[in-house]
Amino acid sequence: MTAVLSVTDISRQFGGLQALSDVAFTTVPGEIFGIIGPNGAGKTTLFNVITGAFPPSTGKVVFEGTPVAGLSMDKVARMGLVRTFQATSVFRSQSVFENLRRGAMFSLLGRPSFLLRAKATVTAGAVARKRAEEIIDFLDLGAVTTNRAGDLAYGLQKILGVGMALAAAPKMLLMDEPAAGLNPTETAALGKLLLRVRGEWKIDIVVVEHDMQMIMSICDRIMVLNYGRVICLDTPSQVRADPAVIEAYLGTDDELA
Amino acid sequence: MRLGRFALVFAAVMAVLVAVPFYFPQRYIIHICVMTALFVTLGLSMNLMLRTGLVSLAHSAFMAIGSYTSALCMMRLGWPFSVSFLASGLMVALLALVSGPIFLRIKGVYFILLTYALSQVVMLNFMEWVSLFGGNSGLSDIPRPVLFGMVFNTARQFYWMALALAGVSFLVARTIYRSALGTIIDAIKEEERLASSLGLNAMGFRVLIFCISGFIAGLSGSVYAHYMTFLSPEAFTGVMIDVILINVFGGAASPIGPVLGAIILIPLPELLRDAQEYQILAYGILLIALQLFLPEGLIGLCRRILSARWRRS
Repeated sequence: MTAVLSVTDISRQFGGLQALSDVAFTTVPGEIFGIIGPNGAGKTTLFNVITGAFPPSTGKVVFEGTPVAGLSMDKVARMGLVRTFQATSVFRSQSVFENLRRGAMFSLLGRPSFLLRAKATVTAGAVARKRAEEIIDFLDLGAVTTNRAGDLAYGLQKILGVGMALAAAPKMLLMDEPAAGLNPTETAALGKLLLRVRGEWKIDIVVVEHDMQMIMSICDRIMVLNYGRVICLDTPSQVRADPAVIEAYLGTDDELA
Repeated sequence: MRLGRFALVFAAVMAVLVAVPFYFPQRYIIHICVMTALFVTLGLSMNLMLRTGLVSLAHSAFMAIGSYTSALCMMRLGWPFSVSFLASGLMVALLALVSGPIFLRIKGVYFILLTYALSQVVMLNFMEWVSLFGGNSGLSDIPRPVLFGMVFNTARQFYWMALALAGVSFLVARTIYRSALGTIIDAIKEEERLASSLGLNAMGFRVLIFCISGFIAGLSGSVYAHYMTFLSPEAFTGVMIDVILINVFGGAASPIGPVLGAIILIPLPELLRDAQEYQILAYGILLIALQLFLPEGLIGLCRRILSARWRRS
């Protein structure tokens, strides 16, 4: 795997507010990279800058050697950098199978120009069905293939969301708080799933998360943001011991007194 | 097998509709039929927009531009009807292609307002640019079409032409909805952000649908122009509301919806001539009532009845 996401000296202001200052990191191929930080640390802003929701004030985001900051979300997705959403996001009125089929189909027929290629629809249709079936096996969704996605339990909808992102054949997944709203059992299961995604599908993952336990247990490296700055970038055990991180999360003795 | 059954039903319905002028040769009935067929086409053009999650008030402008383009291509440029007809569709599609990427950036009610403004601006041009468009008195003596050496100068010929256009528009809409493109526009309507995150260029497909919708509306304008042989801007002002009403009444979830809507709503004002001054009021009340009691239109009602009967048996 060669997928590398490289972020150099990203800064972003909103009016007078400095949401991000000089954030930089580069992923190593094959790793799960975590981004954490207290509320308001700039995690979501960073996420939105990387996925192209809005451009950085300064700095560069490079995926696989191509600058992606400011490109549209769909274009970045077709390059292999696929994002998932914090809230559940599925086509509620459609079946589980159809949701997965769409995930594959939209990545293959993403632009209107496919209508000019005579066989595009036929080929994509076959590929999409095959991918959907593979993912149903992988996620063990066989019992609910024909269920309406909107009727699934919340946790299952989130799993389906991951499955749809997989169907889009990404090189790297960019996940915004995948464990938000899940109970501890579901969170643990999701953590295991992400490890399997990396292991069996050879897809790199960058994950922004609130749940400390999960992120500590699955990530190879973690970057900690506070007030828009990187205060630590290291392995989970090092991050856990870092005084700056402890201070950011728990405050200092002085504040408690 | 399914396709075979559809083809059979479609052919049978078309055959019945083709025969209408032989049973009702009265000119005013055929006139109503021509207008109904044209509004079936316009309703289907609007249906494409609604299925993509877009309400547009640009259809007055679309139809008017199609009409004036076709008329002027024949009158000023001396082009044959077949070329002028295609030019009218292409002209509107071109306008949609140019304005779409700007307009479609704007969502919801603001998009509706923008398309309304587009219709107003286009109408003003037709009214004020007197040397080219004839101003408020419009264009007259628009030549009759000649196709394959046959002159179209009777109402029934225009009925067949409009019917053919409506039939083809229906098949185009149905084919789109059943293809990958149909899945794509459904997804854009339901969860655009999710669709984009999977690699779908939602804007590109919205512009495409805007263009196809415009193309079809432009063609219907062309037939209208050569059928009426005179054009004035105010004839088009109500179109934007009619095409939405047709869809809401019939049900926008199926291409059959606007067909039913047009067949029922377009002849209605003609039959209730005396009450014509209350037409707008009646339309308003109808829209409110539909939203309250039949939010999915006639098609939704049929489906509910069918599924209730299916459950009982």
